[in-house]
Amino acid sequence: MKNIFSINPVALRELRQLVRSKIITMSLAIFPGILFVFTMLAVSTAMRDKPPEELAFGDGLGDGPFTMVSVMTGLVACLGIPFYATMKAIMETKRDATGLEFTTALTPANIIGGRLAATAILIGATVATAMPFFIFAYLLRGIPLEQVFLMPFGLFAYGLSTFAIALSVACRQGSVAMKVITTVLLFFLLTIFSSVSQISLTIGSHSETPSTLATTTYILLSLVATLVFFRAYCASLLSPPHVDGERPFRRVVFALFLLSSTLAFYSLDACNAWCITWVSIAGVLLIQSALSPREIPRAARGSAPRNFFLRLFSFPFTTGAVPGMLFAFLIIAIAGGIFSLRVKDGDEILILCSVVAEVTFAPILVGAILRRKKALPRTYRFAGWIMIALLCLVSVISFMAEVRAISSGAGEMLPCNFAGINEYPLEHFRNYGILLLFSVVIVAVSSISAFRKYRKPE
Amino acid sequence: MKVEILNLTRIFQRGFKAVDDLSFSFSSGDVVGFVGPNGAGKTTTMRILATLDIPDSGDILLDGKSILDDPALAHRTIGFMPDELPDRTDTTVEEYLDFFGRAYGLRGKALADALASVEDFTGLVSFRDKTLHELSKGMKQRVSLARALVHDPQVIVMDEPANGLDPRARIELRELVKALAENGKAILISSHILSELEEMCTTSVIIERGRRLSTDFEDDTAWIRLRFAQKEGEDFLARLLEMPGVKEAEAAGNGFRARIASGDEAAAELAKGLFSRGLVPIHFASEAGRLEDVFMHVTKGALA
Repeated sequence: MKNIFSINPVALRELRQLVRSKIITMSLAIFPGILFVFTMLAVSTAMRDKPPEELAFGDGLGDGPFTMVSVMTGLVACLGIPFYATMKAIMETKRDATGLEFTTALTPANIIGGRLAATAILIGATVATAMPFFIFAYLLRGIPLEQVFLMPFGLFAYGLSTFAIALSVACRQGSVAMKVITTVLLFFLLTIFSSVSQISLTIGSHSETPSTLATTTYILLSLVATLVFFRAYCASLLSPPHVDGERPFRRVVFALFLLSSTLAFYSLDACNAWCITWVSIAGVLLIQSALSPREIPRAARGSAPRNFFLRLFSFPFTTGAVPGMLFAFLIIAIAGGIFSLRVKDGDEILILCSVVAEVTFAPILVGAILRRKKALPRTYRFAGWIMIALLCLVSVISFMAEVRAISSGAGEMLPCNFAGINEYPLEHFRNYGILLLFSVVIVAVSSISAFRKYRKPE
Repeated sequence: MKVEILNLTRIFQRGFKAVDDLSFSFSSGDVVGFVGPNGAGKTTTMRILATLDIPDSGDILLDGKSILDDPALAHRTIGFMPDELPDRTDTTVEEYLDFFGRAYGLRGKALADALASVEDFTGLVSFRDKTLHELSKGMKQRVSLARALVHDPQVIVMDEPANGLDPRARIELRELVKALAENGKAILISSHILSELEEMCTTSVIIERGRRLSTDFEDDTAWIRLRFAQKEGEDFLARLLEMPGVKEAEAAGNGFRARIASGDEAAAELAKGLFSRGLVPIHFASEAGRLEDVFMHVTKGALA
């Protein structure tokens, strides 16, 4: 119990450094002054624009100042602080190249959690500083009371979520292009988390417009989902070699998957949001797998179950590039399967999911092969080249069919291709599905047998 | 506490073997000098010991338990002092040590006692409120040592601790290492300053291209440095070689060096021989640097 309530050392260190930081103390000291000036400007503008008879009752004066305070606080809480905290994290990672934190009892999740906690306090302090101005705007009338509380809460949640995403991009090693792709995917995820939460709350409240409580819960839910996901994701990126960092991350992904699967059964909107979420998460997982430097390292050996069937089941959750790809593939396939049960044209969804898997799985497997050609078993390489041959073949067939269709004017008879969805699932499966499954089975069997070799020594 | 490094191999990209089948062991009270040219694999071995890297094969055992299977055991037992020094403008010595104390799971009185103990041991009490950036290199090195000691580890791994220190700081560091060994710590220390290592180490391990080199040729000899009031001529070398126990002699600076069997008896025999021939040296001292000789003898200066 003692450890649960003791403060995270990283959070404490960050807070001490923030207190000593001149930029932060100056900013926090100046911020109320700036808010005051801008609020007064907004008030005077509002007073100038209002007819004298309305002014006598003070109607609607609060709108301008409220917007002004929201914008100013949003700039600081959602842009300034996440940017500052991310740059600080990057500089510290560069400075402590040895990674001394990893020689202590701190886990990567503790380190990320500490940073998130310290930034949450800083954003909270900023929003709290702005609170009197929000209340002042409310006293000027024109603003519903709940908005005065929802806006700061929303700014806090959005600022912290933005920092979580920025931190995950900062933690990732790799090219700028890859960072940009990951960032786009991650921001997409943030939106999706929000929409899934919103939809689930709308379902829960049984009304078209959610109540204040429902909105608050929706913000809170999406914040929690975002923080849980990104804490695990950043920790998996930060993990030192002795930690099987991706295992907890995949557990979180799987838990979110189960949660949102349940929600998706209540509404078609939730179903749509959910399907897109899983395609995005699979994208993130696939990128991570392609860039992972390791194949089932020794760290995973220690945690591999002794029982053969448990080991088989836990394989996709284990660190390593190929297990990662199979996990992503599994997620896409299951997501497609479940989603297809909820809609009339389930075949389309099946094709969508298999197309996503095909166009991402093959290049990423080949990328992994090229990066680690000496380390990978021959069967991986075999399967990888089959996938690439498949992609080339389909592209050529699609192109030829397209040309023929255009020349003959029979556009509706296009065969299935990777770039689009059509109405011929069986044809799609016959043409490409068998080869895809064949490749995946080869990779899976080869990987699982490799994982077995890594079982914990008796 | 016994540390066993067993057939350790670490292969980086493109088959670069940083450590190649390396084995050695040491125990509490030992100070092991870990010596090798740049790129020999010293830092990689130390990083594996500190769990900052994992080997491709081989193992490291602490009292028979593998740190690869139980990295937390290494975290509790090993204090790692890297070659980079702490340097921050926004953190004081006290805060820095407090952070690592907490990171090792210390809280409350245990933490306060640990901080007081390491600050006292490393002489940092009067510097605890200074920021790390304000400290000299020697003091930063002390902070680094204090950080490695804050959880009272049984094994201390020090990577180039004397690097860039002035003579006073080096002497102080040497005394601290000796005191730690007397307290029963097992110490692995790498350094380029071999004469210093020789003074504080009980044994040494020399590696090159990731492999441990055989030091079998380490015979029982020592160099004695001699200087006389009157400048002796070139023919003196021949006379020196005739002295009892002298195996090799050469001119060195404004004096001479003679290699004799190691131990006080052989040195006394040489002194007696010199006096009996009317040669009274104004300087007669055994020469530190045996490790340097061994090092130069066994290594080729090749990188892996």
